[in-house]
Amino acid sequence: MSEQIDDEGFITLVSNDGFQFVLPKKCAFASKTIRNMFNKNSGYIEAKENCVNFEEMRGAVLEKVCEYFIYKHKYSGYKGQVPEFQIPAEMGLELLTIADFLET
Amino acid sequence: MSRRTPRGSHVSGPNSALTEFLREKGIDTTRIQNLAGAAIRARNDENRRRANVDAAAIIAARDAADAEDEEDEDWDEEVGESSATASVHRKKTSKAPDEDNDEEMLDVEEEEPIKTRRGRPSRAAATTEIKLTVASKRKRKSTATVKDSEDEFEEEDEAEEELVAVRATRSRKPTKAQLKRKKAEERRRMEEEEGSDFEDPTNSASAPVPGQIAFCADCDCRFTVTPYSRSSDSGDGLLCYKCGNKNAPAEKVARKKKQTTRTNKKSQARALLDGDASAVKSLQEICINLVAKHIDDVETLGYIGSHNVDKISQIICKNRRLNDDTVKLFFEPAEHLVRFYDCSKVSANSLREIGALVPTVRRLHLGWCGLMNDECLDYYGTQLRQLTSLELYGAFNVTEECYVRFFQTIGRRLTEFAIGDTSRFKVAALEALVDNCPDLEVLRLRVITHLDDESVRLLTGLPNLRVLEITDPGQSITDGPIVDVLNTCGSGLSELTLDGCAELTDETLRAIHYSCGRLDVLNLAEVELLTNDGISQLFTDWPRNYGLKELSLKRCDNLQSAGFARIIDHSGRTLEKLSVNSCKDIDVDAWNFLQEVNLPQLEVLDVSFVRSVNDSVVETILKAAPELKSLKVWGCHKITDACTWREGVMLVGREADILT
Repeated sequence: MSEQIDDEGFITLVSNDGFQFVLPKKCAFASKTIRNMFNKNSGYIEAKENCVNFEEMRGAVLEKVCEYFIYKHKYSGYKGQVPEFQIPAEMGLELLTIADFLET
Repeated sequence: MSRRTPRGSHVSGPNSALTEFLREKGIDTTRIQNLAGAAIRARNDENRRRANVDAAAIIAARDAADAEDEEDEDWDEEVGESSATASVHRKKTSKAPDEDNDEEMLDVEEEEPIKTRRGRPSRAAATTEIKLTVASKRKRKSTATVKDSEDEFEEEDEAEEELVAVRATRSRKPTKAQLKRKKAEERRRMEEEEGSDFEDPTNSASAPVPGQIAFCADCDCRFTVTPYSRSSDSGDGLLCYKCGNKNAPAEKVARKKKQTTRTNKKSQARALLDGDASAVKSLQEICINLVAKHIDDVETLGYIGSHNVDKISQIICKNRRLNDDTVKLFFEPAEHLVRFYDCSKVSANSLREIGALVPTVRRLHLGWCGLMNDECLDYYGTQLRQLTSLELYGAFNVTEECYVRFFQTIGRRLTEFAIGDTSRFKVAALEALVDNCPDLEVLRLRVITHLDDESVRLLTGLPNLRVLEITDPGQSITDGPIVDVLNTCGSGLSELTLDGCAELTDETLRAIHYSCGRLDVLNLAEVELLTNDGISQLFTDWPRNYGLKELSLKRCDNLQSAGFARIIDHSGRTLEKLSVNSCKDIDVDAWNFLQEVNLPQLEVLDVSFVRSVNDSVVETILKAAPELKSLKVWGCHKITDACTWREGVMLVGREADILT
C-alpha cells in the first residue's frame, strides 16, 4: 500500500551549478532517498515533475553518482566478473557524504 | 533409459562397484546409460545368440568381441598421446578454468577403479620411474617393455599421472565415452562370469555388435557400428554417425548450461561465505575503500572541512569500517574535538596515538573502545593537557586503578565524564572521581555493573552537576541515595536520567518536585514502580519548574489518563519530545483532553503500544502539535491506512505500512 512507485520513464537530476542529467528512473532508484521521493504516498513535488534538484551537489560529483547508478543497474545480478567502479581519489570524501545522503 | 526402470524398483542384475560409487556421488547415469545402450544391446544380443545358436555363431561373436578389445587398446593409446600433448600445451599456457577441473576429476575417479579392476596387462606394466611423461610411458607400453614391479604404489603413481593427463585433456567427450564403454564392457564381463542370463525385458530390440555393418534406423543408410553409435529415439536400432550427431549441439549447450549454473552456484556460495551477497558494492562502501586506500595521502583526498569530519566519522563508523587505517584520517593536529562512534576495530596502539597526534583535543568521545588498555588511558592523562571532556563506552579492559590514576592526574580540569559498559569501574574509581574532579558538570554512568547505593551516595560530593545520568545500573539503586543526591545538587540539574533504575518509587519524584527547579530533561524510562498519583503530583503545582522540554516515561505503565493530563497541563507549552511508550492505560479521556490544548513546541512524540490510539487520535495530535515532525506508533493496531496526516510528519511504525 505504502509503496506506490512507478519506475517507468526517465528522471532529471540537476546539480547546484545547473548541470542536468537524464537517466532511467529504474537506475536512479538505486538510491533509497530518491526512491522514497517517488513514493506517491509521500507526496513529494519531485514525483510529479520527475526532476530532482540537488542543492548540495556539484556537477562533477553528480555525474559520478549518475555513473554509479548506471553501473549498479548494469551489473547487479550479473554473475561474472564485475569491473571496479573508478572514483578519482580527490572526490572520495565528498562522494562519501553524498552517498550517505542518497543511501546508496 | 529402459534399464533405469528395473534398477529403480530394485529388481536388477548385478551392480558394479562403479554404479554404487556413482550413485553415492549423486551422479546421474541416465545419459551414460543411454549411450552405453548400444554396447549393452550388443552384449544381450550376443548372449542370446550364444544360448540359442550353434558353436560357429559363438566363435563369430567372440571374434567380434576381440575386435572390440583391440579397438579399445588402439583408442587408449590415441587418448594418451593427445592428452600428453595437451598437458604440454597446458603447461605452456595457463591453468584450465576451475570449474572444468572438478568435473574431470569425477571422470577420472570413475575411471580409476575400472582400470584397476580390469587388470589389463598394460596396467600392470607399471614402471619404476615416476617422473616419466605420459607419452613416453605409453610408448613403452606399446613396445611391451614390461618391468615386473607390480607394486601398488607404483600403480597409484601411474594413476596420478593419468589423472593429470586426463585433466589436461581439453575435449572431455572421449573421456566420458571411454568411461561409458568400459562400464558397459565391465558389466558384460561380470555377467558372463556369474553366468547370469539377465536380460532387460524392455530392451528387446536386437542391436548389432560394434564392428558390424548396420542400417541406420533413421535414414536407412549403411554404416559401420561403433561403440559410439547412438540408438534411435524410439529405441529400435542404431543411428548412423550423421543422424546421431544431429542432437549433439543441443546436448552440448545443455551440458554447458549445467556447468555454468554449477559454477554460478559455487561462486554464489563463496560470495556468501565472504560476506558480500551482491557483486556490486554500494557507493558508500566503494568510497570508504577508496578513502582507506589513500589514507596516508591526506592531500589526495581533498579538503574535508571540520564540520565534515564528524559527518565522515559517523558514516565510516556506521559502516563499521573504522580501523587502524581509516582512523588516521581524523588525526588533525589542531583539532579540539575527536569523536569516534565505533572503535571496536581500532587497536590500543592507534587509540594511544590520539594522545600523540592530537594533543590539543579538549573533548574526546570514544564509543565501543573495547581494545583500549591501561597504558592508553594513562597516556591520555599525561599527554592531553587541554582535555576537559572524556567519554568512554565499552572500555572494559581498563582497570579501576588506572581510572584512579587518571582522575588524580587530570584533577579539576575534567568537567564532563561519561563511562559505560564496564564492570571495572567501582566505588574506588567513583570516589577518586568525586575527590579529584569537584568541578564536574556532566556525569553519565551507563550500564556500570558495580554501581550501587553506596557509590551513588558519593555523588553528593559533586555540587556543580548539571547533567546526571544513571542508566541500567548493575545493582539495584533505591530512593535514599538518589534523594540525597537530588537534595544537594538537584537545584542545578538541567538533565536527569534514571532509566532502568527499577527500584525507584514516588519518593524520588517528590525529591525532583522539591529540588529540581531548572530541570529541562527528565528521563524515567522503565522505572516501573512509579504510580499514576506520584506522576500527577510531580506535575501538579510545580511553579518552580518552568516546564520540561523532554520527558520520557517509557514503560512506566502505571501512568493513566489523569497523569498524562497533568503532564500536558504543566509542560505542554514547552515539551519538545515526549515518550509515553507502552503506557497502556492512557485512554480516550487523555486524547479528548488533547483536543483542548496546544503543544506548540512538540516535535517528537512516541505513543507506541498505547493501544487506544486510533486514526482520530492521530488527527487530534496533529492538530494540537503544529510542529510535530515524528510520531511513533509501533503496535498501535487501530491506526489504518485511511488515517490522514500532514506532509512533513513521519508516521513511524504503522502496521498497515509494514504488513503490505
